[in-house]
Amino acid sequence: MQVKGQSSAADKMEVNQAKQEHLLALKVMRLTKPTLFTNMPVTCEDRDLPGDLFVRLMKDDPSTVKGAETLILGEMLTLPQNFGNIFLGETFSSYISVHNDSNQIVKDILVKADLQTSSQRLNLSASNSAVSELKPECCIDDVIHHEVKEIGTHILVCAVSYTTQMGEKLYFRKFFKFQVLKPLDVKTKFYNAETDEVFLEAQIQNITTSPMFMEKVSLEPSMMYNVTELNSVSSDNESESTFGKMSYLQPLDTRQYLYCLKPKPEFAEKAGVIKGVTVIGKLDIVWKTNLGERGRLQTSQLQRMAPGYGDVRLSLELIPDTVSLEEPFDITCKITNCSERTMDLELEMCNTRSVHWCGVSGRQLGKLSPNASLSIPLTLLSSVQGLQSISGLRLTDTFLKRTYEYDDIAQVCVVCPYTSPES
Amino acid sequence: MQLNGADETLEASVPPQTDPTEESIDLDAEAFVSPQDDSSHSESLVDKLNDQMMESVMISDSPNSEEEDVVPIDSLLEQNEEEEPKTPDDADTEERIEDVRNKDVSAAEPEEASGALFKEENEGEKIVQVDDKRETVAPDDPKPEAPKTQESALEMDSDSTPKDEAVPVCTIFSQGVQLKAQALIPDGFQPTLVKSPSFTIGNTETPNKLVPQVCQPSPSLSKFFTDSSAVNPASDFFDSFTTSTSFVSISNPNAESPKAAAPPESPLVSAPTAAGTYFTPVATKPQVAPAEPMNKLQAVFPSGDDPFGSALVTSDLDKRRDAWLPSEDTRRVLISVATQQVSPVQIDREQLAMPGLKFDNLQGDAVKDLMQRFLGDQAAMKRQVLSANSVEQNFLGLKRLISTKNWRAAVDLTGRLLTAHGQGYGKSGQPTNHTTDSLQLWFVRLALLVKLSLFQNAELEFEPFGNLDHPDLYYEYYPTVYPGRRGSMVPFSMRVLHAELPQYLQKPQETLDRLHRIKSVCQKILSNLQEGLAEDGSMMNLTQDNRLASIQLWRSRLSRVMYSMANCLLMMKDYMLAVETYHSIIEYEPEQRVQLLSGIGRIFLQIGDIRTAEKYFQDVEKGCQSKGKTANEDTSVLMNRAFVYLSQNNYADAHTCFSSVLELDPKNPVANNNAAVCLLYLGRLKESLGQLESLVHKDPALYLHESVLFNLTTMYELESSRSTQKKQALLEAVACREGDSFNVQCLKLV
Repeated sequence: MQVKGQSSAADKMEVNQAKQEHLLALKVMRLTKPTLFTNMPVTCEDRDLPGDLFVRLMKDDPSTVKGAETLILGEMLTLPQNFGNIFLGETFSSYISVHNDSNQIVKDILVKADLQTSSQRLNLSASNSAVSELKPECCIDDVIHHEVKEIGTHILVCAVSYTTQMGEKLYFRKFFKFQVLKPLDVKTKFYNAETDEVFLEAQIQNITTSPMFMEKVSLEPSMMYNVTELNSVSSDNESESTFGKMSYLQPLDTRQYLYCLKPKPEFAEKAGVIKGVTVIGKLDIVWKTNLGERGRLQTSQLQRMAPGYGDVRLSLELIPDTVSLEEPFDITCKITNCSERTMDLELEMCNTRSVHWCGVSGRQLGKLSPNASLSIPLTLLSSVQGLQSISGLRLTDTFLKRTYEYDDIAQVCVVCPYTSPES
Repeated sequence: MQLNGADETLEASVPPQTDPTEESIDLDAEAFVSPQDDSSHSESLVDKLNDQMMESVMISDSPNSEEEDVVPIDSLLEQNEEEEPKTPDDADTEERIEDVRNKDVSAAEPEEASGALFKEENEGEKIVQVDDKRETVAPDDPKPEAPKTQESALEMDSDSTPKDEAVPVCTIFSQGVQLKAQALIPDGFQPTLVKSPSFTIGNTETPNKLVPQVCQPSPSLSKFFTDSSAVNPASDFFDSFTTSTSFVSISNPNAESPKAAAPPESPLVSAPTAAGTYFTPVATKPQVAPAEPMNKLQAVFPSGDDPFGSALVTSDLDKRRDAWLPSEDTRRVLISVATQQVSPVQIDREQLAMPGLKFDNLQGDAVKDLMQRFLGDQAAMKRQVLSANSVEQNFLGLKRLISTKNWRAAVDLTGRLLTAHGQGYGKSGQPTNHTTDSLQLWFVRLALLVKLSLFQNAELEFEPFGNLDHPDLYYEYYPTVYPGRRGSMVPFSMRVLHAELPQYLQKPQETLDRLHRIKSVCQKILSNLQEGLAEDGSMMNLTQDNRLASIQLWRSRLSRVMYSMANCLLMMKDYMLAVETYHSIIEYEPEQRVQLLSGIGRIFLQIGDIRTAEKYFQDVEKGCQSKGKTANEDTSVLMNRAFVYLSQNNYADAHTCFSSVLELDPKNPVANNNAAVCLLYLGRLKESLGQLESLVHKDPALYLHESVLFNLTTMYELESSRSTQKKQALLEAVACREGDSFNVQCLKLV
């Protein structure tokens, strides 16, 4: 650090030597959105000492809302008061003004605005052609816009070159540095359902200092999945957001979004396809802040480790949710060979305390090649009321003499149909 | 990669950082702190680049450095690590930040590296290194800071006060009534006397026996009287609080007749009750007051014509206005005073409000100071504003100072008047008697302090009042002084002010608490009225007119409190509750429906929720249509549309809308200003400036406003390097028109 200090002092000297009167002045101002002026109402009643004075003062104040002077949020726009923060995904806008401070006409003025990031340099000027002349007290104006795509230090480099009346070519530059910060913190979590469905929970936290209106948070699925958003509850054709009326996120507030992903049929059929690390998709987030200042971000591709199903996977294709006590009902199981070899399977059904299987236990299912699956309808009944877990299926691969146990495959609600004959 | 179920952090895609190799602009710590500008303008000018201007980082202007264009930002990134306070590291032990960190770290080189880099490039180039002074400013709360004056004011040592006050003394009662003064001269004054810290026992409850109730000697007061023996100050003093020709009665507006330069003997004071208000404080206050003048003054009110008739009128008004529900403890004290079980003397000091000035004069005129600094002494001499000395030393003078926006001087004048009342500097914590007028003075003083954004001062002086529920702040406490009068001496507006104050001192929760307390009293009073009782719940019979008037008054007070709540919630950024509260005000103030709905819409725009804002704006339009106006003829509809365009980044259409408001209402300052702002965003600086400038010069009454001037000076700064001269021209315009309360910060001269 010390070394730096010394050398910068030296730099300064050099700068001073290089100083030179320029005819043009360059001014840059960041154009964040204007803000609404808020006033501070102090009122009294007409029988108080000041009488109607306070009221009159407020009525005469141009920044108050006429007819409702006690409302602090006025309509008067004020220009941005400081540089503020800029966040990834927002648009950086800036006013660049080159003013002729001198009393002579200046010729061939070229104003160049570049944005230097850690990885690239972008030209932001609207036009790259030179202005042929600029009279005294006149200025060249440019408003530049750039959607910020990188975090970290950015430097706006403005260069002005021009020719004086004497034909002297002059040039100067100015540098404006700013930091781009991260606006959001996104965490994700996957939940695997018994079916092929995957649930994605995304926690999005506002790590800026201002409230943020979440205009859009959507999941763009990869080609293997279809997505359903579970962030609104619809009833009577009206869908209501699960976040209620709170359409915005306060600083440091976090929101949870939930998505359900279903593999497209062509991928679901071959369960083996979705195995190991798979790409799920990416989140697309659009937010707005003060007076519509907009920001947009996409996450990188979300990846998920598909759950391992072992050699043989047993899933349910059809099962009723509610059944009657002691009445047989049907379910359909799907058995998929997830291994690399062909299997010869035998199905055994063991009764539990509440679940009683109907039909023959120990039947042969035949050969099943890798990635192939078969569906088998089964019948069973329950002797106990309440939420009952379906258990007791056993698959044995006769080639390897290996048995796979399937318990707690699903649950059904068992009710007694005779409780209330009068209804 | 994780197995399912594990949390992962994702990070907005940051492209891989490649090492820029071409150019080396290293940014210099010092150059960054005090931005310089290679085009060799004086540094002071550059310094004046205000906050909103981007900071110029460095100066490397040698033509040969031109080619090398890429900054090795990598070397800068190490500071980014520290830049992360936004990520609440502590909050989670999960692996969240890891990802980001890793990238950052890999991109960032250790500090030595940048040093090394610097050395490499040292051979002749100007190299500037950036020191990452966190220049990102939190965008919230651009509230102006309270001027420094307050601190210095507070440092006043108490000894000097009386002396300082001696100066104004001469003028304080300038327009006294000479006649009476003459009469009083022989009495002279003994600035001696009575030291009992509270009332003497001589003050037993005999209403007619107007032996001056004696309270604590007040040095400044006695000084007052002795120092100016030329005119008899005593009578003047009374005048200022009693029947002076220029006196404006607060509690009895009927008595307000400044034009009537009648001698004090004439029955200006209309009602015995009201008269009591004015007389007794005199009796109780300056313990030095001799008996004779009292008697003389007393002689005044029996001669009042029809005292009873007017008494009835005022007392109804007073009753309505003063009604309040004291806390249980206070009520008990008041009852015991009223039933003469306890004399006020016996009441514990802890339970009394004992206010006193906490700081001395504020006097000062920031506009003049600035003129002195920028335009020279001569120009500054031309600045003429009213001061506390140049007006009548009474309520009329006070009003004059307020209406001419000389609030600092007005605060000083309230100080003098309160000093005369025995509640001056250093009197805090000493028992005193309150009157209607003294509390009104306090209210005005504190209100002005708030208006001047001197919140700490206001808080300090509010403190002895507690929560405005001390027994001695109720009329019942002074049965002799205010016979038969009931209710609170504290004006309702003072309660609201008291409640609103903490929010300006970053204690919005306290504000809400207090407002809720006021609200519940308002509601209780309203329900009492609706049940056929009097305001305070007593079984008094009110006439129907009276009851309706009272209900109307209390409903308007309730809505005032709700406004305060909504405003406070808005400042707390609790938008949803704020919106709800604003919405509920519509029920009380139906004529403000349009403004309130538009205001709610603007809140949603502020949040960024444009769709909901539009919904509210549509309600406004429907309301207008039902009134038979087409939408285009209504300024608020047009204004709302403009704001929506603005929020869609459509500045051109926003400008058109503001312009069409101007076609309907060419003098609309808001539309004018906003149209100019839109022009700037459209890249038309000169036009925008031209528009604002001409407005300010054509109609300074409307446009010499903080917000407009702020915009104008900002544009001056953007326009040229000679902004200072132009700002000085504005200063001159301000100097001709504005009082001492003008907030000079918006001129951005310093």
